[in-house]
Amino acid sequence: MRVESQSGEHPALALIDDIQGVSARLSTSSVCHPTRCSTDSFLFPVDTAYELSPTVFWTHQLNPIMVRNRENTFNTDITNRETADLPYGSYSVDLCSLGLKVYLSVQGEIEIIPDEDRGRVIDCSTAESVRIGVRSFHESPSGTVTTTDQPRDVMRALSCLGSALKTTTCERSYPTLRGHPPLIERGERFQAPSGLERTDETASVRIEVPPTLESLYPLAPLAYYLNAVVRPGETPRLVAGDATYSLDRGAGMESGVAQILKHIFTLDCITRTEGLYPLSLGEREVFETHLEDAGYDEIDFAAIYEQPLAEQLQSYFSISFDVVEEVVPRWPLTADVRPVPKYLPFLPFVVASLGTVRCLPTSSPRPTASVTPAIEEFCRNRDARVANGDFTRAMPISRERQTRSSDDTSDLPADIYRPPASDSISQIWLADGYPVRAAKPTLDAFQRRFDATPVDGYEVAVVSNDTAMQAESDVVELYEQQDQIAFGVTMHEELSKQALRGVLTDDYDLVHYVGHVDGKGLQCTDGWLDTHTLETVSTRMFVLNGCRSYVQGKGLVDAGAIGGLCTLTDVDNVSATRIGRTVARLINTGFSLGGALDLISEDSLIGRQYTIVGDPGTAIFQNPEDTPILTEITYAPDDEVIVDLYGYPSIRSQIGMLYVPSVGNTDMYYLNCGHMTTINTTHSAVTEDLQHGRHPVRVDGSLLWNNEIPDEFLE
Amino acid sequence: MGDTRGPDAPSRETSQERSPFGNELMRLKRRGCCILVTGRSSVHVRAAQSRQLFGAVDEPRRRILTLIDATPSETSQYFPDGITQSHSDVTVLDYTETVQDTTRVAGKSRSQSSSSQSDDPSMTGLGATLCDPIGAAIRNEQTEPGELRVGVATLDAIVVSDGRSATRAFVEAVRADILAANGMGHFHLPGSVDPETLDALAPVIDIHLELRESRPHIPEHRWHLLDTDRSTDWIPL
Repeated sequence: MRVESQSGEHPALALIDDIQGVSARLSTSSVCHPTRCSTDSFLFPVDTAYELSPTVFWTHQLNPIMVRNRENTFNTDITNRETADLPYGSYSVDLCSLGLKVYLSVQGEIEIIPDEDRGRVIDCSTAESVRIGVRSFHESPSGTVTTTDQPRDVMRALSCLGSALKTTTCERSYPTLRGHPPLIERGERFQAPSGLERTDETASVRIEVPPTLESLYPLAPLAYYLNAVVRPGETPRLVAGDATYSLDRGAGMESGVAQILKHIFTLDCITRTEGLYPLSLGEREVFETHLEDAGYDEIDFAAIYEQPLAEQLQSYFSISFDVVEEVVPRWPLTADVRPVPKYLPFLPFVVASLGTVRCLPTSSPRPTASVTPAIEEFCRNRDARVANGDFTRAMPISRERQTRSSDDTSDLPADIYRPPASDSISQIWLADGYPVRAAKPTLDAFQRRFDATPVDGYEVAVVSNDTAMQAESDVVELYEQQDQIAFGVTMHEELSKQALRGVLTDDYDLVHYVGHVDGKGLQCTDGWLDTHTLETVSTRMFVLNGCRSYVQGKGLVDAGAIGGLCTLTDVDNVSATRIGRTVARLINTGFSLGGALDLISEDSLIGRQYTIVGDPGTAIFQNPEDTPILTEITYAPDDEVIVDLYGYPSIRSQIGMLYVPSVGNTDMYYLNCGHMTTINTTHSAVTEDLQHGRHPVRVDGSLLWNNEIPDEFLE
Repeated sequence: MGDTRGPDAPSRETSQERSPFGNELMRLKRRGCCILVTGRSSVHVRAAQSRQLFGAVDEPRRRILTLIDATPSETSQYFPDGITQSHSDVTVLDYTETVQDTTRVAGKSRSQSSSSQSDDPSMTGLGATLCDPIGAAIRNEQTEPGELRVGVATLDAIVVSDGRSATRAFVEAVRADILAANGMGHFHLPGSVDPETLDALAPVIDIHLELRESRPHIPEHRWHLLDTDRSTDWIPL
C-alpha cells in the first residue's frame, strides 16, 4: 500500500494497492508532499499512513463520505448532494467507494460540498493537521487446515472456518470484517495451525449433525459465519447458550441451514445500523413495515446490538422467519456438490462468498427434469421426426445456418448437466461434467484469487479469427468506452497458431476470442490451436465466443487463466455476436463472470447455453462504485419513470456492502445484492442521472449502455 | 461450417424412448395445436415463453405475431434471438391503435351491456375485426407441418370488450386456420384467469400453459395437455 504525490497542472495523490491491483486518484488543490507517519491516530485499522500539507481534496464522483469525531460522539454520513460544514475538531473521514479503504484523520475545520465537475470536495485547507491512511481490501486465507476424509476430522476442519472472522458482532455482515477462511487440504491426518480450531471453550455456538459428508457440506457457511464448533449429534441442531434450534425447518436440514444463514445475516445487517455505522437502511424500513403489517411488536434492535452472539441468536430465532424472508437479499452464490471428499478443498472459496451448499445425490443420472427434452422438442423448429422420414413430403433442411462450429457433430455431449434451479446470482457445480448456466471451477483457478495483480491499467485483447464474424469485432469499441480507468485495447485479426499462442501467454487481463472453436481447438489461419497444448497462459480472464468452447476453455484455465465464459452447444452467429457485445459491456463495468452469466441467461434463451470455466467471482475491472449495478428503467405515463436497481457482487464486493442510489435524491442505503429498491421518479431526473459514468441499463428487456437509450424514451 | 446435424442424424431426444407426455406433445405438433398462456408473470417472462414457442432460428419458419394490447416496442422481445420484426419470415399485425379506439367505445357501453356480451356465442366487435386479417395472413403462408407459428398478445382486450363466448368464437376461428396449416398458435391471457373464462376457452385450446415467478428471477412454467389430462410439475423456464 502506498500513497504518491503527482505534481503538474493537476496535482493529485495516487493511492495504490499493489496486492489487489487497485489504484485510486484523489485530486488536490496544491501539491502535498506525503510523509510516512504512524497509523496510531486513526480510529479504524489502516495499513499505511501519511502526513499531508493541508489542502482541498476531490474525488471526481459523488461517493458517500462518513465522518465521525475522535470521541465517537458525532457521526454524519454525506451522500448525493448533501453538504457538511464541520467546526474545529478531531475527525475521522471515511472516503467510501474508491476501491480501497481511505481515511483522513483531520484536526481542524472541514467543509464538504458536492461539485458538478469535481465530484465530492473535502476542504481541509485550514486544518492544523491532515493525515491519510489506506487499507487494502485484499484478503488472504488465515492458514491451511489438513483433514482426512473421515467426517469427524472434517468436522474439526469446519470448526476452523470461523477463525477468519475479524469480529463476532453483527458487524461481520460487512465483508471487510469477515476475512477469508483458512484453506482446506486433504491429507493423512488432521492438522491445523494453533488457535484456528474453535472449541467448546472458545466458541459460543455449537452445531451438531450426524457425521456424514452429506450433512457436513451444507453446514460450512453457517459454521463459518457463526464462528461455531461442529460436533457429531443424532439430530441436526444449533446450540446457542442454553437454547437449541433444529436445523430442519420442515424441508430438510440442507434448506434449513440456508434459511437460517440468510435469516441471521439479514437481521445482522439491520442490527448493525444501531452500532458503529448508524445509517438509514432500506431493508430495515421495509422489514419494520412488514412486521407492523403482520401484527408483530416492534423489535428493539438497539438492545439486540448489545447482546453477545448466543443471546443475539436467541433473539433472532424469536423473530418471524416469514417476515425476515421478505427482505433477505438475493443470495450471491449456491454451490451444488457431489458429497464426496474430493470437493472439500473447494469449501473455503464457497464460504468466502457466504455461498450456500446443496448436495447432489452421491450417484445419479442426469439431473434434468425428465419432461424438458419433450417440451424443447415440441417448441423447436419443425417436427424433429421429419428427418427420420415420418412425413412423406420432402422437407429440405436449410443449409444457410451459420454457426461457430467447424463440423457436424452430435447433440449435447453426455458430460453436460443441468443443475437444480436456484435463485442465487451465481451457481457453481462441484461434480463431474459441466453445468448449464453455472460455473465449473477448478481449485487452481480459485487460488489465483490471491495472486498479486498489476495496477498499471488494464489490457484487453480482442482476437477476430474469422472475417464472417466481424460484426462482433466492434467489442473493441465497447471495451474502449471506459473513461474511469486506464485502459488499453488491442485488436488482433486472422492470427496464426503461433501468434494466438503469443497473445494467450502475454499478460492480458482479458482476451475476447471471436471465431470458430471445436474439439480440435481455436481456429487460426494455419490450423487449430488446441489450448491443452499450452504450458502456460498469462491471460487472466477470457471470453471464448465460439461453438462448444468449454473444453478449450478448460485448457486455458488448466494452463493458468482465472476463468472465462464458454459455450456448451453450437451457437448461431447472430446470437453469439449479441451476447459477446453484452458480455463486453458487463465485464467492462466491473461485473464478475457469474454476474454476466446471470444477466445473459435472463436476457435470452441462447444465453442459457453459456457456462463459466474457472472462478465465477472473477471481476477484472474494479467498479468505481464497488458493486456493479444494473439499472432497469420502465417508462410509465405522465412523465413517470420507474427505476429498479440491482446489485451484482463479485469477490471484490461481497454481500453485505452498501449502496446509496444517486437517482431519486435519497440518503437511504441498500444491501448490494440483487434487487435493491424501486424508485419512482421523472424523465428529467433519469435523463440527468444517465449522463454520468458508464453502466448497463435495461430498458424494455434490452441491455444497453446508459448513453445509448433511444431518444423516444428520453423525450 | 454448415449444419451441425445432418438430415439423417436423429436428435438425442428422438433417439430416446418418449414418455406418454412427449408422445402426446408430438402428436399435437404434427396435427397442429393451440396453446393458451396464462399466469401472473412479467411481460419479459411471457415474451421469453413466446420466444420458445416461436421456435429457434435455424430452420425455415413462418412467424405471425398479432399485437392487440401488447406494446409495439416489446415486439422484438417476443421473437427468438436473431429474428427481428423486419425479418423476411416475420409478419407483425399491429392492431394496438385499433384496439384502443374499439375498447374505448366498448368501455363506454360495457357497463350497460356486459351481461349480454358474455352470453353472445358469436363473434362481435373486436374479435370480428381482427379475425379476418389474421386468418388471411395465415392462409397466405405456404407451410409444412410445424413450420407456421402464430402468436397473439393478448386476448385480454377481446375478453374485456367482447366477453368470454365471443372470445372463444374468435380463438375458434383463428384455430381453424392454424390447424389447416398444421401450425402452432399461442394466445396470451396474462394474470390469474378466472375459471369461467378457462372453461369457456377449454374446447378450443389443446394446451394450457401456466407461467409464474415463484421468486423474483425464477420464472417457471407448467403444461397441461387438455385432451389427455396430462400435466407437468412447475419447471424452470
